Amino acid sequence: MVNIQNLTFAYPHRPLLFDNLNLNLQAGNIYGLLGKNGAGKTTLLKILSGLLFPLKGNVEVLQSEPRHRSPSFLQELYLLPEEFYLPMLTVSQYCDSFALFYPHFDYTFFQQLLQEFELSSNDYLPDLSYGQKKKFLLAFGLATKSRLLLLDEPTNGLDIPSKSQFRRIIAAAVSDERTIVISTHQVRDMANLIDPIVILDNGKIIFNHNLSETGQKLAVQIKVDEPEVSVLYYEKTLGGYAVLDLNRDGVEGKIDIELLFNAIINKRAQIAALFGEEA
Amino acid sequence: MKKSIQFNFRRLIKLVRNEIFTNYRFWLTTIGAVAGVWVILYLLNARSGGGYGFHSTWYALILFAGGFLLSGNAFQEVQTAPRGYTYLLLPASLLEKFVSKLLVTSVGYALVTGLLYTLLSLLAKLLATLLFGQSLPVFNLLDASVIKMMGVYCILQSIFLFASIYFRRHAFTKIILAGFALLFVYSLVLMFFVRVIYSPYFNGMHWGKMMLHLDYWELPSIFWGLVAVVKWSFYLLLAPYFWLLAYLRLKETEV
Repeated sequence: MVNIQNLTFAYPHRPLLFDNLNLNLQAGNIYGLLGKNGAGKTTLLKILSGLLFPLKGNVEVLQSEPRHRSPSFLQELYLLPEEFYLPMLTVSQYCDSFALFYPHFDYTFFQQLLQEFELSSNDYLPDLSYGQKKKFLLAFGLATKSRLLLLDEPTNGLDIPSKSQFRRIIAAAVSDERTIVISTHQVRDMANLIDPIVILDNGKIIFNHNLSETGQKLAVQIKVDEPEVSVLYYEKTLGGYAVLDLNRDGVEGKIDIELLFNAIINKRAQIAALFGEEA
Repeated sequence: MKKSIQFNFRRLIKLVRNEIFTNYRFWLTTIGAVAGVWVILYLLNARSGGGYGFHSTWYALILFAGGFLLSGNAFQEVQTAPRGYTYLLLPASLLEKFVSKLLVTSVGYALVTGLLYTLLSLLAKLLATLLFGQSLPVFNLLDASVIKMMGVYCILQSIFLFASIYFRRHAFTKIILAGFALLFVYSLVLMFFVRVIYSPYFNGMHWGKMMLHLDYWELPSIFWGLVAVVKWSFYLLLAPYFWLLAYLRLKETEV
């Protein structure tokens, strides 16, 4: 579905952001795209959607080159950016104006999602709160039935009930033909949702594995006393230490994504070696 | 890699519809405001019994000033981050998107303003006759000078359309300033050549008292050939040239 080879990218008059980046995303998954501030998560989503062009390398998304922005490609892709613009229209007027461009747009599903998000067809878009606008765009994006859904920080601005609603709706939306990529800092909001995990750091993809594979190789433990230095990674938590170490007993356990992310950023070489990769 | 149809007439119609519909509040407010001011001026002119050249002046102002403003802002939304996302990611080809903007800002604008102006002039005439017993002549949309004015507008607006995609911000102001700068340079060059060619007529930097007799019809045929080339380049080449530049610029726009 997404195949990036040797991608090099830099903003004008700035150092390289991506240097020979490689990435392969398969259909039927909800990928969690993680990275530190400025790692280039949003930029990567923009390159995937054809809003930015690579300096070098091949980017193939849905069997098309995104930079051409062909209609058939755009019909199958929906980007929900962190910053967005909504015209001075009502929900139904927006739907009448823009849904026409998506041949598979599901109007019934859109109405169901609006109800679920407690939005009405008569709501005037500029009057909605940031979170409501986001829910509206998410409902629209899901109703387009596009095969690739790119979500940039989708839970920012959502209230607590909306976050669980979001998780439920996204989990139900994925299918064998559809891929969802969620770029986020809010890994706790994405617990039990994102899998595989893709980590972007220093211009490269340094981790792209599913949680099952990760759980077979690594295990999380909570310890009261400070662990020995020989453990792979640990950090202090409330009342003890969260430890990420080799999975020695072979029983696949649950992985804490935040702990995994911190471990990969701090112990990149050791974890890469564990997955048979070069750091 | 998949290939797809780059031009679809139905998608173009949808885009044109969106261009108008998504900004309908702006259109209604602007039309209302301009029409209000115009009717007042019409009535003042009708009452005083003047108004010679009223329509040619006001229609030209609405067509050119309004149209250039509209064209100069046509692609500004593409340049700003969140609006640009919506525009560029809408499933239509860039050619369709470009043609829709072009149609709305050139022929579409000229025709709609022409029709609205005609309608308004009829209503204003009725009102003026009722109030003062006299009025100004009805605006004739099919007059040769009006049609020529529309044609010239469609050619010149291509420059503003190009500016709107070339400059990231304040395209209208920048193209006006660039126009003045070009005019200034052109004047300097012209002055230089006049000073050199007609040096016997000058006293220092001052024009002498001798009369310069110029009989245009005695000018060599190459001059008239050159005039024809400039004239037909303006009518046939200027607009396509700027359209092409604007389209190519749109293709390479990143946000």
